[in-house]
Amino acid sequence: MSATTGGTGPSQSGVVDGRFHATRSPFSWLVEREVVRYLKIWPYSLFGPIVAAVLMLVVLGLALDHKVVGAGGVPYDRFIAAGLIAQAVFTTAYFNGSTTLFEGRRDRYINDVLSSPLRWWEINLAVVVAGVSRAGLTFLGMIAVSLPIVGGTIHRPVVLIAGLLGMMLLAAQCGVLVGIYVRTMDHVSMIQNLIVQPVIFLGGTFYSLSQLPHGWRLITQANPMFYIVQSLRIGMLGSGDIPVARALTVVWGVALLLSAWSLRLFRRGQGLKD
Amino acid sequence: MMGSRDTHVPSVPGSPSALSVTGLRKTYSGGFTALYDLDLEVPAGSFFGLLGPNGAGKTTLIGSVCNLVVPTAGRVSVFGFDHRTREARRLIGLCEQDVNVDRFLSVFEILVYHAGYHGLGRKEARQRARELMDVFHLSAKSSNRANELSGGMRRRLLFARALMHRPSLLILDEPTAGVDVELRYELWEYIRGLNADGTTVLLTTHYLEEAEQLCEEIALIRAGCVVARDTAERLRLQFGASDIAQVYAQAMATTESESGTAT
Repeated sequence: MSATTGGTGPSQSGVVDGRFHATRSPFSWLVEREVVRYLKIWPYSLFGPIVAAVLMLVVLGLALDHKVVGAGGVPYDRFIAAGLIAQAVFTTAYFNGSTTLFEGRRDRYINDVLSSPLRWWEINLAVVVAGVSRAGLTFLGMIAVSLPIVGGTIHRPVVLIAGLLGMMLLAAQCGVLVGIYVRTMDHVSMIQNLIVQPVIFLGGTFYSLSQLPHGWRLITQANPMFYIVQSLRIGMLGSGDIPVARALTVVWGVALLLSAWSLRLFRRGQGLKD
Repeated sequence: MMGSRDTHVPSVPGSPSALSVTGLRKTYSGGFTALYDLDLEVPAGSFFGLLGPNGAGKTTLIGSVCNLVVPTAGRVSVFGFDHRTREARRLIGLCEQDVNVDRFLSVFEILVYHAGYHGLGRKEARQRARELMDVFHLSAKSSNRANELSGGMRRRLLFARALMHRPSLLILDEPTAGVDVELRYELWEYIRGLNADGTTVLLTTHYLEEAEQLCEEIALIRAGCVVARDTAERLRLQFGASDIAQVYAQAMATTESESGTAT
């Protein structure tokens, strides 16, 4: 593979940087490193989330399938499948960003990347791309296992892909931000247990908005995870609690907002450099 | 050991100094100022020593040069390039004080990915990694992870990593701290050879006699300022000392009494 990465634009604020040439793009090397990292721990990084989500689908879906009906008369196992897939994919992308950055900072091997010719936005993008690819593999695994269990087809694939990509970007950048700000591994776990999991569980995975009292509806609609679940549910089942445009707008809006925040930190070196 | 040295040193045309630091200041968010408008020139091709007590600002200076620390003010250039440019970063090889290697990767992968971050292709990176694993006697451990290596092997791995992309300016931040005498001499011999072949070496160390033997020029740094700088011989004359240890003691004591600071 041969590529030239020398650019003429500013690589750091106000610095003209046009002389550097590479046989292969440093960015592609960092993406490869990030992918290799999670593939080396695949039982934990890929297999674990899929097994956990499928078990929940089997236990909740099959146990309650004849007792509870999802919104619009959809069988309960099919109703919750979209939400469980969203949970697994979100958690995977989130964990990838938070752990790879935190561990790199804690063990200081991120210095090897920061002192190299890699540009700040390339480092951010590489971590996000790796998180998205890991989440994408989790999604494919979940679809491969869950569709035969719950049956049915994907009704609106374009909506599903748009929602999925927005969710993966949102989750990966969320993980990157946590990876920058936390100081110990306990903080990573604490945020996962006290913020991420409750937000996911209150995001409408197991119930429809129409089944909630008015107050809880408002609370649920303030939760970004609700729009993630909705966009995937509309993509898979063809309908949801809210219009598809609203669901996708919120998902992509939050994803872009978090991306802007994350990129700003990388540009300034905040949390990464002294 | 380590006899097979790489003699390929990239030429850097039109660059009078390997490192030029002007008015460098670093004040951390807590208010502590580690560097006070520091000026420093390291000539291309030299073996330059930077001596000073803990907390003097050596690591902050190196971090600033290598883009690990964001300076508050000042200018840093590497062979004429602003230190923030990709070209400047490609020209620097950094061997840090702490053993900071990627714990997910094997020894071979650590070297290959480092080369990749500096723009090498896969074939060249793999070939270079094999060369340096041979040189630093790491070949038998190529598939091991760094946490499975002994302390001396980890230190050799850091050296090898810093050299993977054939830097023109090699920065060694207390590279032999905690290393046994035999390995220390072997590493010095290798670095001395690299310098003879044209690589500029910037060394910080607490081993004063080694700095005296190895370095053409020495700068003494205390409380974020360069307090003396010259060849070891001239420093001895200037301070009326018999060896660099006496120079060091006097320079630090003088500065302390002048500035009224004590760290």
